[in-house]
Amino acid sequence: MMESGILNVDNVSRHFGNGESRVDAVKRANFSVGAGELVALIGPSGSGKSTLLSIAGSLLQPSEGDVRLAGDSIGQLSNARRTRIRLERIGFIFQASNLVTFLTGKEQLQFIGKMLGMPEREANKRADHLLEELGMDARACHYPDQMSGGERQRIAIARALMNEPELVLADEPTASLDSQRGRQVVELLADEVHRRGVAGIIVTHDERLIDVCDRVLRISDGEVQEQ
Amino acid sequence: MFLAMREFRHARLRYALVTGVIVLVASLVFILSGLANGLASGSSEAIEAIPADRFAVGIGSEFALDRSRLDTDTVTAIQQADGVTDAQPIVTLVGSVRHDDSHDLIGTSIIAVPVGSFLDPGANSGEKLTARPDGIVIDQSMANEGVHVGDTLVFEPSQAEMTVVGITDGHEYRLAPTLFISLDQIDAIDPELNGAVSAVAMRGDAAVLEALPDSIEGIRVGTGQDIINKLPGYTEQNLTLTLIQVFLVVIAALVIAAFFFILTLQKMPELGVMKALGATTWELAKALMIQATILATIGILVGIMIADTLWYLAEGVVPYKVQWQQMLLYSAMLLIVAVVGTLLSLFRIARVDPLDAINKAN
Repeated sequence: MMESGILNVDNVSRHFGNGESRVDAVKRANFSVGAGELVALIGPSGSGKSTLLSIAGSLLQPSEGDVRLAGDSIGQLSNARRTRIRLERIGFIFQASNLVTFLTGKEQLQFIGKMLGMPEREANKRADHLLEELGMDARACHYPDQMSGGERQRIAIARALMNEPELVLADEPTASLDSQRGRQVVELLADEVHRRGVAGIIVTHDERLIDVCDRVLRISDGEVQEQ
Repeated sequence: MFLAMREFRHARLRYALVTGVIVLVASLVFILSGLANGLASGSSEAIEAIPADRFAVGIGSEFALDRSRLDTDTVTAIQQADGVTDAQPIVTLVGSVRHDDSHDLIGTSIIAVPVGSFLDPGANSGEKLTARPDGIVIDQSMANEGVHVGDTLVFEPSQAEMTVVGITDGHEYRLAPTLFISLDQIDAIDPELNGAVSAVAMRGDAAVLEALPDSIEGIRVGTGQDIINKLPGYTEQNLTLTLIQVFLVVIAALVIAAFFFILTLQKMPELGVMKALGATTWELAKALMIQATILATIGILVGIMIADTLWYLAEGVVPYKVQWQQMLLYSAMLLIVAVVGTLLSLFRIARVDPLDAINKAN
């Protein structure tokens, strides 16, 4: 177990329900993700990978064990504290249709800046920079429904980086894309993770994307195995 | 503000439509309140203008002046009673007059008062009733019928002729063109009265005046409002119009509540995403409340403008009266109701789980 990682998942278990109906979604998961490392989390549906991602992303509390982000224990925080952690320290990329429909590409990023209380000029500058970096500067003023699936996910990556996170989590970001576009998106994400030195986890079921990632974690029936 | 305004911009038509509904509801509320006030004051101005503490009316009349009769002896008894500082008889009649050589009759409210007493309406232009014994002071409502100072009016059916000497304002009675004459002239117009009057307006200590029926037979004592409430249709009409206005305010609340609720239901997935990204319930709820406040404010302002315009166009045709305190009250009610209308949606937003952002997709 690497203790030097940005994200450390220590002995994390999560179960739902009680007694007869008890489901163990994650069983004693142990792993860490280091700076500048993109880890693929692969497993069949129902294997517990969404639950594990939710726990790593401070959306869900583990039943047992702890999650540490850059040394800070975030496993058992209150709802409000976890909301704040997500806003300030974690970047999320979800499946398709995760953009706010009534905000343009740039406004998606500005919204994060607003919530962070960032000065408007600084937020503007950072948003412009990120959009340029992801090749979306020409589409900054378009609404999500005027963009292609790949463009939407690039905006989503830019948005996930807006708060300069320590950890970026991507939940099946290629689900609605064809294989070529999907690969481009993951390559972009890997580039950003490497360049910025953030920890990244990408949940996917597409084995062809493994080579873009630095490490692979396989999960089945709630048990995580390093590969 | 960031989310609220951008959502407006993105769904202009949707928000314009619901604002249109609020505008119509608000203007209807304001138009009706003006109409209700106009009708109310057109019926009762003349009574409200009398600076009396209490009125004595005939027993059994239930304060309906049409049915109330007090004979000369009773009037004298009231005037001489202890504690009554001033008491003046008044006669109100429903009648009709002919204007100059015209054959058309004008239906009028005729009010006869002792000249120079505290019941005398005075005059805003022309001269007062004191000018000549057979003088008439007409209310503006009569002047609107084309009657001028110096005109002669012929009373039907008595054929008594009297001359208009002055015009007063704010003395309309029973929503009819109203005129004032001297009480001394009433016999010429309605000889059957035989000196009897409709009521006696009294001044003095209220408790003393209220006790008068104990010592004087055949009278009841009440306030001007008691008389106003018994004007034909007055109470019913006010009740109806108030009811309509209350219903309109409730309708506005429901329209706004339903609109934002449906919009919120539609947005559930993206609300989940925003919460996952770190937005608080309060942040999302705030956007909704700001939207409701803006829509309601626009609705109210445009509503006032429409109501004002219609009132301006209907000047002299429809009775109306603007009461700013009441407009303010209804505006505040509409505004509060709009924000309360979003409550249902706020509960819904509070219940959105950021986890849905991940689970919905998988």
